[in-house]
Amino acid sequence: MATAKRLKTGLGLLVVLLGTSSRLLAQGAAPTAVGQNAVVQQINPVAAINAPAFVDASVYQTDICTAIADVLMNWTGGQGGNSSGVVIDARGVSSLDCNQSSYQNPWANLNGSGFTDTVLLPAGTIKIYQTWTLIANTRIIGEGPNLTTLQAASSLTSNNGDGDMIDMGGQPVIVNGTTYYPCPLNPKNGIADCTGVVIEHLGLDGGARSGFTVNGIGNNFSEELSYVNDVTLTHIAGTGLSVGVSCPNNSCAGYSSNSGPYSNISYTGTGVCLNIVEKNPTVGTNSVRGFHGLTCSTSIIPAAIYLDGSNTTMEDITIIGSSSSQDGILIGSNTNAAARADALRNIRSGGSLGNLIHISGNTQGQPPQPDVSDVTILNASQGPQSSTNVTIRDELTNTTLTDASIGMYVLGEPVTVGSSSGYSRFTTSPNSPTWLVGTASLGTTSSCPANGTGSLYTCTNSSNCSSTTLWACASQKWIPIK
Amino acid sequence: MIGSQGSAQGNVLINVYGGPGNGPVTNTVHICNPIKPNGNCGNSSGTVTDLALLQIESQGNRGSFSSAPILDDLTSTEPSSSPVNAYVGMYVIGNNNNTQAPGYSRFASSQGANQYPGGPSGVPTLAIGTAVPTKNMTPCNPTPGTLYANTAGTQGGSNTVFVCQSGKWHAFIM
Repeated sequence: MATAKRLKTGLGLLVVLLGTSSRLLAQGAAPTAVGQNAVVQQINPVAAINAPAFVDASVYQTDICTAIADVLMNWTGGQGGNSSGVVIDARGVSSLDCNQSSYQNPWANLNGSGFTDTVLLPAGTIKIYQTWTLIANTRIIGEGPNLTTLQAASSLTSNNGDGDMIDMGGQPVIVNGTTYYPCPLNPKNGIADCTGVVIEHLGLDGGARSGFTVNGIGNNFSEELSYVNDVTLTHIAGTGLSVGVSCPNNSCAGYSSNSGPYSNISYTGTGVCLNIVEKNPTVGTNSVRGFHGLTCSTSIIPAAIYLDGSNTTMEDITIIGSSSSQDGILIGSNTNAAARADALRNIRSGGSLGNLIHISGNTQGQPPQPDVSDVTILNASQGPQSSTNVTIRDELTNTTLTDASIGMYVLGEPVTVGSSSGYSRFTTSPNSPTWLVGTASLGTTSSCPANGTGSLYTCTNSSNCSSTTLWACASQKWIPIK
Repeated sequence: MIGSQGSAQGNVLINVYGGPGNGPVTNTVHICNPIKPNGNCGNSSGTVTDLALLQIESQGNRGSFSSAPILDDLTSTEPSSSPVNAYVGMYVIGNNNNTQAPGYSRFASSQGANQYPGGPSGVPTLAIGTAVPTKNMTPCNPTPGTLYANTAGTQGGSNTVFVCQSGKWHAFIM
């Protein structure tokens, strides 16, 4: 067994090795790679060699942004990017303010292809002054959301001006006449298309200073194998997490399709907690691998979460609002997008909200089609401390449900009724037309609520209901049908 | 394909997308019926019961090829076949184990429509709205058997609950 001390052999430092008592290390070729550990090889002569497993960024003795950039430039082949990849251990870096950094975005002058990089961030507050635009196959991993914090400086800038603290991929940028590609271009359509961009186990602090709006994480360019997990977003005055497309001037330059999951995320701020948007259904859906475990605490009006994408799953979501004018989840409000085949499960309100879930009545196209269709909601509820007014508000069917909990609400598609239309829909709430089952005979005089007009009731007890087994609620009475 | 190699019971499929690709994908989800081999579902198909499908999409091929989110050989159903994006929010099929039952227990949020004579049918569903059909007169386009509840119904119920039959809305309550 042998251990090795960290080497800085590029500067000709002495190699110090602790060996076993039974053998001494022969002098071999001195390791020459800055930041790598030295390990003892088990062949004769026993010697210290470079360990390529990871690079210790602390020996670069600069701020963390420069240290990461230096390692990337040294170990990934720079712009050529033909290395097999690198793990950067920055947990020993002590200078965490990037104000004087030569590379405030450590990935600025790199192309996102040909190598992978994993960066282990230290505990502490890392102050950033420019958006970190992660290139393809980059993973940044903190020591935990309450231990590793990226804090936005009030002067934070970004190349595209979006004010994000972290972008998952980006468009090509030209620096001093050289074009850099954070994401390789898809040969089929020429669109920037990143894979393998990962953010885990850290916190983002937006600063929340007066007049300073910053966003948390934005993904418009990273697709397969890209995800966010175990992240807190605090003091964010802008959007905490934005997952969508980059389609300026109706010309799309990037998508986030097939990215995710986005899981175990907590947002506290005054802005939008989560914004999901696709261009429109004719361009292609923005199907992502779901949002699982999200707590949003925000005061923003009109909505904490915007859902304007299709094939989106959201589950275990808690929204803590502060106004009766505020929606928790607003679906289909963007008339340039659509929300189809979405599923929401276990959606819960805390604090004060006007509507926990609000389905927009917007339409688009000719003949007009609703922005929202084929949406399934399971387990929407108001928490014990909630003062939410409405659990589900559906403008398409003009339905308002104030039930404390709703097991199922499924909105389908338009159904033609002459020159007008209704919607296929099913809910377990008795406060809207539904299909009830029981064993009691309702006779001919039982009353039913006005908001249950159109409900059906089936009596399953053959002895009680031998003469009538099916009733309908109309004019606030149960009318026998058969 | 579900049940093509053996029985499949008590399954849930969530958020399944059939893209255009090089195929393209004809049916995003194909439910086999051992009694009626169809297409890629061969003679070795097994029993399929108690299946829940959520968030199913097919994309067709941008107008030149029709595809369907779901093809159900058990009930000969193909909701929302389309040359462009088509979606089904929920499709739940139970079973017909009760030999007295004339069909399958099932609920779907998409109605679909009859695509061609003898082809798969759409899905009767439960619809609501405030439009008031004229009894036995107002045309209905959804699959026969679809129920419609007029949430603004009055008149003792005669304009409240309807069923789509022979292309017209018929009132339950006379």
